[in-house]
Amino acid sequence: MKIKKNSLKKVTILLLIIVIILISFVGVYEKQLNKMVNTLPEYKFGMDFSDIREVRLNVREDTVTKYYDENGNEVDMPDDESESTNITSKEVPVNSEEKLTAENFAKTKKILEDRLDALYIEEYQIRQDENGYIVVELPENDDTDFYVETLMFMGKFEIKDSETNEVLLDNSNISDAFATTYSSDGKNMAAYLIINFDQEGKQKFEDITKTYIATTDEEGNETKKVVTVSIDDQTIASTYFGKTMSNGQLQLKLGSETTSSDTLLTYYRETLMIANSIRYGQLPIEYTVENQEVLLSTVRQDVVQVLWIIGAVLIVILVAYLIIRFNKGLLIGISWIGFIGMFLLLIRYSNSVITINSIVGMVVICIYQYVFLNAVLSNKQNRSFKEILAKYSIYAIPLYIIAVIFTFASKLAVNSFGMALFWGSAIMAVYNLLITKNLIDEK
Amino acid sequence: MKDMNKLKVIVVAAVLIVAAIITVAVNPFKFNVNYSKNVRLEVYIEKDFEINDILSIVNSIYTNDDVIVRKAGALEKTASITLRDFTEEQNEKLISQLNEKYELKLTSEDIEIYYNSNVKGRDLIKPYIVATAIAGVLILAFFGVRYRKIGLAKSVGGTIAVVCLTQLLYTFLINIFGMYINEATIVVGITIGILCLMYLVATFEKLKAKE
Repeated sequence: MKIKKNSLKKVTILLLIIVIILISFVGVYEKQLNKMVNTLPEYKFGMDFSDIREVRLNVREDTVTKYYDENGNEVDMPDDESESTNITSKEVPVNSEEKLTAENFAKTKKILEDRLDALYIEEYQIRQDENGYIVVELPENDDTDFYVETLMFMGKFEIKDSETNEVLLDNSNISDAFATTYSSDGKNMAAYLIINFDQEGKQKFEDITKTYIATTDEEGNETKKVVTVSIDDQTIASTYFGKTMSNGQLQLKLGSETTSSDTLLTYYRETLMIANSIRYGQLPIEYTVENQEVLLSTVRQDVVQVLWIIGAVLIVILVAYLIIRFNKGLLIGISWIGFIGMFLLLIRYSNSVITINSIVGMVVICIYQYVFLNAVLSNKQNRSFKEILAKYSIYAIPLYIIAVIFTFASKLAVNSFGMALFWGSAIMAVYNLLITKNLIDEK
Repeated sequence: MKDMNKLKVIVVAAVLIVAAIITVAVNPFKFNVNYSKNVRLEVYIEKDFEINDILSIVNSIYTNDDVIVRKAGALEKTASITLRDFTEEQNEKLISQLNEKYELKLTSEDIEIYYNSNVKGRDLIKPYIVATAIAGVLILAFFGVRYRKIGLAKSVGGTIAVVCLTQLLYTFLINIFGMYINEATIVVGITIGILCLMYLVATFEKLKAKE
């Protein structure tokens, strides 16, 4: 009776493993629009295996016309000729010679990296040559245009007197900037740009909020002293203040209030772009986009097929070794293939991104599982399954530590490796206790 | 006998360190074409094409040992060829072979040339530094606590020495065999470190059990 029960258990587990293998390697198909479609989540690939956008940024070499009054102060372009009698114009290079230093090139690269990091872009590459020429490689997806726009902001922030154009506050006093959404009435939402000033900026801002206010004279006439807030010389707001603000924080509503989540998202992204552009300082050098090109994945189907075949052959050889060497080799071999299938399913469902690093991590886990299964079968010291599992779990403690720490890294190269090790270790423990142990009939 | 073994280990380690330093100094690391200073040629083929066909043409013309060929552009009718360098003559040959194969009338002026600077080695390593340092400290703490009876010098000092030496050996092998630094180099180094640490745990567990 007991033998029958055991056989039934083994057959059930074997069937379960075969189902896992079939689902993982073949897929689950469903008819959709007269086509059979695999309903399993697709694998996600990193830049190593997918399309990229190459953006070429060149240092601007052109000139701009600047206007100066009789005192030599820079002024806005005159609207008509009558205004221009005392105004002289001059062609000046956008980037002066003094600006084009190695230090400024490096600073530009660092600011661009900070901006991309702030958008949580896990994978990108920036190259910069000795002349400052920059090539940025970004993952190609729906957000790539947004990333490119973020790179193109100069990040020049100014609060100016609307009449005299005197700069009252600029980038040098910003300590932080971010975007947020807020609803004043619980229904309509709006995107806000929040700018925090440093100690000196806090005082300056407080003075601005005291000076730039609306006043009413004895006859009831209202006079407004207005400031303009500009980013890259584009005015984003003209305002005066109703009360003194001593918290050193400027809150600007960008866009209108909306109940539509899509509209709000658009406003929020634009606000985020502005916040990111001023948060890390103004670019010391002006760049222009020379060229943008989508470069398709370097992965070729024929190469992928060859790799699958090599993988399959290796698995067959390793399973054949188990079958030849051990009595229960076939069972354990099937269990190992089932483990690989289960691991690949977990990679699909956990949204892990496949990179070269994660493939290395997956191979390490699969080999470690194989080594463990070998130890279970050879078991010279007659130890129980759980003892061997505990022993191998202790051996793998450095791997667990690296898996957990790397998983929390911000860059895909690191966290994809961590993820592969983490999910691999987790599935190894669960799979061995629930499947392998019962398959080889161990207590 | 024990002293003799120790001496052998020290000698091997010293030789390895010196050899690694000399080879790296004499023969700097070579980066693959993607990471090194390279040039990207772009040719609009006007027709659907197979990467393999372009690759075989490129391989027959350019003497580079490391080439990346991919499709570019929304229409996927542009071939992008990344290589270390080229000559005008080679480009003319490329155009003539493309014209022949795809019945085109391209001239060498139809090749768009983009120069790329190299990716800095420190940019490749940077993402790993914090995570590896934190994991390293935690792993050493684990060794220090779990194998404290074996002695800190042996458990922690020995672990640091063994991991550093294996990494040096890895560096030495990359250099001596002229292997390119590529997308997998760092992660393979980390994997070697992990395997080394796992082996050390197994060894210390045996020592601990004996004691």
